[in-house]
Amino acid sequence: MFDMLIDAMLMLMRLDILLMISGGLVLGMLVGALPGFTTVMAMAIVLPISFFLEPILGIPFLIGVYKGGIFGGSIPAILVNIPGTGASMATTLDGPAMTRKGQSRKALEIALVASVVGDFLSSFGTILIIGPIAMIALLIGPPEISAILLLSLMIIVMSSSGNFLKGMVMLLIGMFLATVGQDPVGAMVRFDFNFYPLQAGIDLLPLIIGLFAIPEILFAIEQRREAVVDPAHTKAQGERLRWSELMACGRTILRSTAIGGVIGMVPGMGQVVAAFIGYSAAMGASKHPETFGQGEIEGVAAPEAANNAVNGPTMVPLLTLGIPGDNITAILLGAFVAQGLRPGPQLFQDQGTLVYALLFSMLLACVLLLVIGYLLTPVFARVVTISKAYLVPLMLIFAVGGTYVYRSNPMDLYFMIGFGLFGYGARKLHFDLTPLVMGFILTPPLEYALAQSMLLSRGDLLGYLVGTRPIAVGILVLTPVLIFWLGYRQRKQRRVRP
Amino acid sequence: MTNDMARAGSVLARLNFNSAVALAVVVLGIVIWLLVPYQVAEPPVFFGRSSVGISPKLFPQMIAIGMVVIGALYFLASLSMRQISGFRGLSASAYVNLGVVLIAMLAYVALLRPLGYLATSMGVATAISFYYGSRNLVGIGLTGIAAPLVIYTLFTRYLSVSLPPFPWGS
Repeated sequence: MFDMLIDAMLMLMRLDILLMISGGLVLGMLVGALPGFTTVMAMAIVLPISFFLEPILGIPFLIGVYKGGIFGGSIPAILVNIPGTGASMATTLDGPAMTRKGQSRKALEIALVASVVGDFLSSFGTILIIGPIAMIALLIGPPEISAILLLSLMIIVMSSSGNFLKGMVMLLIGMFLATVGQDPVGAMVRFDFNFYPLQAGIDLLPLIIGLFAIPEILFAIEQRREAVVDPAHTKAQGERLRWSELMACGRTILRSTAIGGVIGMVPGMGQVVAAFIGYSAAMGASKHPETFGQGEIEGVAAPEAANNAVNGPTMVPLLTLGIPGDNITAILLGAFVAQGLRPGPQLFQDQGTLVYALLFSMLLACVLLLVIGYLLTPVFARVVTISKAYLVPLMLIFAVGGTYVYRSNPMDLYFMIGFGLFGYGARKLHFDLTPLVMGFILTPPLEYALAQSMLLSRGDLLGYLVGTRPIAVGILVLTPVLIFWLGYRQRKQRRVRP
Repeated sequence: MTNDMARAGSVLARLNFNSAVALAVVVLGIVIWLLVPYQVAEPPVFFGRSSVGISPKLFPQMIAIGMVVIGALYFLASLSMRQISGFRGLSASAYVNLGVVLIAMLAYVALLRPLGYLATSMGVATAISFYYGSRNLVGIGLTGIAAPLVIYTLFTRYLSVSLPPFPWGS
């Protein structure tokens, strides 16, 4: 084990890896700093690049985009009160107020430090616990995997924004799309309509780029001349962050890191939830809660540490069970699969050194984020003013090029446009697309695990489960209980905050 | 009689876009169920037993049933939903903009192979940039000429994958 960790560290000692992570961070910060463009969109568009690089280059590049994007979103949130990404929504509670007080430089610096500390500590914790979790995961069989997949899908539906039934509709559509092509057990053709391109099924790449990148283009194009942000508001002003102020925020950052770390391990919860819980916890623990919302420095540190602390632990369900917790990890799953690495407990046995090297690259990305963020935040602050007239066509030509190069199949491009239109319409009608993507990704392994369970049970699934698989039964019993509890909690929250 | 009509009228008044989507989901579920016998191949049977644990029809059928049940529940729930469709506030010019970009996208995809990636990308990027309101020649040049060249070089030279070349290329 120790040798594996040393080998993993040595694997990262390459200049090209540092450059790829740095490139990813810069790209992520650029997109994150642009209001209206999301980290998910940036990752979807650059995903094909990772397919043609070594895994140790391509996946850290995507990790860089991920981390840079989540931090980059805080820049417009603080300066112009427009969250660059959903993850930085809670930062708008105190960030813009600090800017109004002439403390925008301090706000940006505490956001950067809190982001890096939260992300680094949670990623380090992830590296410590992921190995033992993978070993436990190795002991479980197809019935338990089926139960865990079912539970994960239900959690994702319950925690998706909007209505439970609407989430279920998206999940079922995603599941249906996954059945198109060949079934994962006997390779029987399903729903091909005698149309040859459908026989191999729908590929994940056009689905991801279509659902996450094309709708952004369509939303951006609705209004030809977007509201221009005053360049005067895009400068970091005021005094720098003092060491004493950072130390005073230490407890808040650590608390938020713990909150984000736990939330990151639960599929479907994500950065937005973590940031708001981190903010509420900081306010609850503060001796002067009345200052929150009026430019309190801890009000910036808390959500930033919490939302970035989610990044590392999302790898736990992804790498140990092959379950992506959100859209970003779904994209990372696509990158792993395209590289011939199937996430799951077996991956730690077959490619342990590589997996740990990829996990260590998250720590490296945090350190680089601190340096690049410190140097380039003033530059990215001006990115807010870049016209979408240049960014929209740029995204389109990148999306088309990236989708085409994967299989050189023009049909993928039509699928991309089709999914793009569907995604645009769904978002206009207040549907969350996450359950669709998760249904699409998790249906084949669910079907496969269920078929294996049926074979193991020799036709008596219920008797087999009750008699020999208590963990699977426990998870299956827990699933409806959890659904009712989450539903009850959501309803209660809605009553409190109508 | 008057009460029934009033109730029916109030139900009709409460129909909204969610109700329409819910009905579409129910119809989709029924269509999938009806398609399963024709669109799902049967696995071979050896010695009277199926060679696989579950039939390839099981999941599509479960999904179809799920759509009908969830769609029906969604329809009932939609009657008390107060969401406003995002399409409602969209101006006529927004629809025109969307239509223009959609046509540009479809033309881009259709012409990608015959004309090559560079020529189509340059044309589409310049056209969208111009349509979007940019009149800055440097900006349009960077977006419409430099960006496709950089992306083409990135993919074909550095990542060694193929994009359709120039129309006059090999």
